[in-house]
Amino acid sequence: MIYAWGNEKIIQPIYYENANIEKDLINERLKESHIKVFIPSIPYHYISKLINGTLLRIADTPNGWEYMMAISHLKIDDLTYEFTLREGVKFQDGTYFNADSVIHNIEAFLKKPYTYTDIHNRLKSIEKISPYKIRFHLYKPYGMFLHDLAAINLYSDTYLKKFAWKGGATGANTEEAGPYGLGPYVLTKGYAVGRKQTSTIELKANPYYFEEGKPYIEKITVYTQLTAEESVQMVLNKENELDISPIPFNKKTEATLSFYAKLLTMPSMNNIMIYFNLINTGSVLSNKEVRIALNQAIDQHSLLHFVYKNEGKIAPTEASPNYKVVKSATKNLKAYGENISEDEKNKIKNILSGITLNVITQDRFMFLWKGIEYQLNQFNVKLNYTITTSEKDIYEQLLTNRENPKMWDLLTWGNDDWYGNHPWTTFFAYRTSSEWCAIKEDNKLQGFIEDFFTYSLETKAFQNTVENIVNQVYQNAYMLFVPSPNLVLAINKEVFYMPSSVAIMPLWEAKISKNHWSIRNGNYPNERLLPMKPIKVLK
Amino acid sequence: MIKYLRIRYKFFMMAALGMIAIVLMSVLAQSISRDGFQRLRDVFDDSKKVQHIQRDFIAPLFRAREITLALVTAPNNDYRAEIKKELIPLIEKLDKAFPLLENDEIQIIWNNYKKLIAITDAYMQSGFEEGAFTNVNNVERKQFYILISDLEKIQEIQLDNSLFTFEKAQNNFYAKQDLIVSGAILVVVLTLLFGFLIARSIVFSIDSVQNGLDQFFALLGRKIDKDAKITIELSNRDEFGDMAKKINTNIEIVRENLKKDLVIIEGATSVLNEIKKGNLTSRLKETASSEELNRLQSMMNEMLDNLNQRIIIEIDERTKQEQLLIQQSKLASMGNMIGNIAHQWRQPLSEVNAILMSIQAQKENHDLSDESFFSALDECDTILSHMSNTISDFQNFFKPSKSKSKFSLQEACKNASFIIESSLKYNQINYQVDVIENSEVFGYPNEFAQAILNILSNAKDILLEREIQNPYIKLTLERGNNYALIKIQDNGGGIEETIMERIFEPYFTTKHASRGTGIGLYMSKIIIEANMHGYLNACNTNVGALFTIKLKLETQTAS
Repeated sequence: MIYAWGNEKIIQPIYYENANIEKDLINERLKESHIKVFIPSIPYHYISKLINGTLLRIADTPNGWEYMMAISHLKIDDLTYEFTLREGVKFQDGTYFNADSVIHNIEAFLKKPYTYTDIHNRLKSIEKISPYKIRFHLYKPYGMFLHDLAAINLYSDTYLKKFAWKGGATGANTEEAGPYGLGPYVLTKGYAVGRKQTSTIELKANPYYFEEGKPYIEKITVYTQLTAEESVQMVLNKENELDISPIPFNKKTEATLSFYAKLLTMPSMNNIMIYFNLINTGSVLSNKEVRIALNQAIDQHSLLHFVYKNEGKIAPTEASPNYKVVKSATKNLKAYGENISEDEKNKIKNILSGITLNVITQDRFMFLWKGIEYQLNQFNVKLNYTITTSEKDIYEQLLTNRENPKMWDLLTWGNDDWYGNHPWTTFFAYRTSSEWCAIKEDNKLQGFIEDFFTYSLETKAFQNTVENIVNQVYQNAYMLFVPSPNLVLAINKEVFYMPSSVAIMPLWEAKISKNHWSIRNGNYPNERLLPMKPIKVLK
Repeated sequence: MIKYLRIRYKFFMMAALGMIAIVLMSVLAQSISRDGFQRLRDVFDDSKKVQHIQRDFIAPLFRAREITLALVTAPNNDYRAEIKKELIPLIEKLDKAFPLLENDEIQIIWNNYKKLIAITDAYMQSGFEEGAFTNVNNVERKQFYILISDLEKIQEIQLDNSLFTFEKAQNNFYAKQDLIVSGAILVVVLTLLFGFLIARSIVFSIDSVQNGLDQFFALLGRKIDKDAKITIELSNRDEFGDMAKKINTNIEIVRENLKKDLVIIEGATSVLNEIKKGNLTSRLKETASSEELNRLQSMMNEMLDNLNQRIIIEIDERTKQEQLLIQQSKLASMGNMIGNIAHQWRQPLSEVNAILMSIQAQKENHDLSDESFFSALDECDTILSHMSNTISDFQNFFKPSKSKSKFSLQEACKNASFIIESSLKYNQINYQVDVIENSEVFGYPNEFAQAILNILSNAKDILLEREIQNPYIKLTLERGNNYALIKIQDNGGGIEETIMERIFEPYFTTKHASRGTGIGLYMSKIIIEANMHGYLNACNTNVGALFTIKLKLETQTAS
């Protein structure tokens, strides 16, 4: 690909178009408008956020949420919260949303709540104050209450009657296509609930969505199980096969030079969780010394440069330092692998030499594993891989591990910030009573987590608790810590989309230009084939 | 012209010509070296220009390229800052160097390349690593190679210039080389021509002298007529001319002397011819020019006198000896003959004696009748007649053959056997004659029979002398294709090897002086080989001696 013109001996620099397509954007929803998206991590969560309404919605805000179906709230005391609801809003089936709808959902939730937070132990009851005002009563103070409200979907009565709430490790996600929610999109085909999902899911704009004029795109196709190579080919080399997709870091250059896609990078609060299987007591990883040595063997600087292509940050624990509170809590910690002397290397080698570890991972993390493997090989550690394209296989291995210990030693999971700028996204994996946790027992840590539930995000006590948890996890090297990644997306040049750093895809804000394949007549204009300057979102 | 020059001048001229050639060549070679040096300097200057492009442009550009690539791959800005410290002065240096090329196009390309490096740097600074990577590996790379290619073209042109200068130097060298070669050829031709003329002149002189000398030596060797004209015709005024004159003078002197010597030689020849004819009285009377010949003449005359004297003495001596020998031989033959006759006569004499004794007894007993008496007389008469015949036979045997005639070998052998047979019988020597096939030969039959008898007698003497048990002599007569063969062998122990070669010499004998004359085998050899052209040889068998006589058969001899 050579972009040169004029005097054949004078080579002109490659001209990068500005990604600014505002003048060509379509500000209304056209019936034919359609985009295709690849969501490899927690697709059930992202889809849920697109099709369902919640009182609050996780957002790129300092507190991690914004009002959605509620328009304001009042914390009357530590145990009482009052919310005013959005009026005149209809469910996707055309029925009205009001205080009763919320009460029905909360009552159903209380019967079988999800367990990945402590809401099930803290929420006592809900009370209708007026047709558009409700009040929550708690058993005990719960600092994470507002974030939990951003996770409790509000379904139509029809759905509640049919499916009710079922709790579960991955939450109660819409199990069937249908007009059951309040979100900007209606699930029309396929489903994703966590341990089960279809490879393709189709969404259609919700005509009753409360934000006027939104969403701007009529139809969205979501892929959940593409390989990294497939997604790269589809998004970079074909115009109409994939519009938005995360890409491996080493494909940034291709994305920049692509005819059809542009590159967008952004710091995120995504976390790459590499679990040590401490449930399997026979594993060498039960030995803390081995876990620490493995972490010491990882040179995060090299990984960051050579594997992440500088798209990430050094992280002393698996929690992204992009969480303000984590950054503060880990300021005195250095990554295990930093400044390791030759003597220390020899000690590490003595500990690790000859160890073989079984790794289970999604295909999309293999780029990282190749880097890790290279580094661990220096210490005579061998890795055996089990590779899958679907996250549901990862869940199968992780979420049943506690009741039926598995043989894997290391498991990778792309844990995007589903809890909204809140470290619980990662800390929930330390709670030994949860399926998400691979630590057999740590009472001290459990004590810190109990404290963690109580304090609000902005309090000093909360900060201290976070520090305690981070330190305990760090000291025990409960996971293999790798740099936290930036969000690196390839986006069709004719799609305007600004991702969030938390685990929500604000596709209802996304627009397409008149040149988008779904609405364009004729060929793609040649001038649009020029490479585009990458969009670097700095947050 | 050349023939009027002295040889030393001729050689001097040749040497001078060589010297001139060497001086000319040296001057030319010096000129070539000087030119070559200049050309070499030109080639070196051009090569320096080529190297200048390499050193001041291409190498720094590759370095700049490498640094730019390092800039892109550097893991962070700290590294980049370090790398740039090297890049900036390099670009400044190139910035100063490019205008010196005075090539607008390359200047523009360089400026653009510099701009592209700046873009790479700017992209890296702004964190647009993908842009920097693409830039450095795409447009910047392409621009770099265009720039390098253009510089290489300049380098190539300068290299061509260098080659042109070199070729010019080479052509110049070849031209000079041609001149040298031509000069050398000319000098060589001139030298050869002059040398040839000089050599021909010298060789002609040598040939003339040699011819004259050859003729002179031929004259000396009398291969040519002594009056033939011998003169070295040489008109040269060089050293050979002088030599020829001197030789000519000497030839005449020698010729005169030779004539005198020839007279004495002819005299000597005449004297020698006379000597050859047996006239030992002839003497050399002439005198020669040379003292040696005269001395030779007197020595020859003296030697002839001595020789003559010695021959007379020798002949006398030999005559006496031969006479003695003949006498001895005669006596021996006579002795033998008498011995043989005695043996022949022993029997008849006994018979006569017996008859006489019988008559005597009959007479004494008065029993002798006339009939018996006459009968006895007849009987004695018969016996005496037989004895008389024997004497005749002996006489005939020893009588020399009048002339050569054809005769039977068997007959001759029988005659010889007859002479000795009685003696052998008397001595109890078994004598056997085995005629396998008879032959006739041409020669002297009596002499041949004597030779056989001599051999038989010798065998008998040895057998008796050595007292051999059961002695025998065997005579075998055989016939071949061309020759008749007579073998006489005995068991007398053979001839000693040390004397084997001498047995046929005259006066050689192993017998006691009273019995042998040493002439028998000698005579036999003479008879067989000299008179009858046959062969007589002796050798030993296991038990004794074997004498073999080989004679050409009569038919061949006759023809």
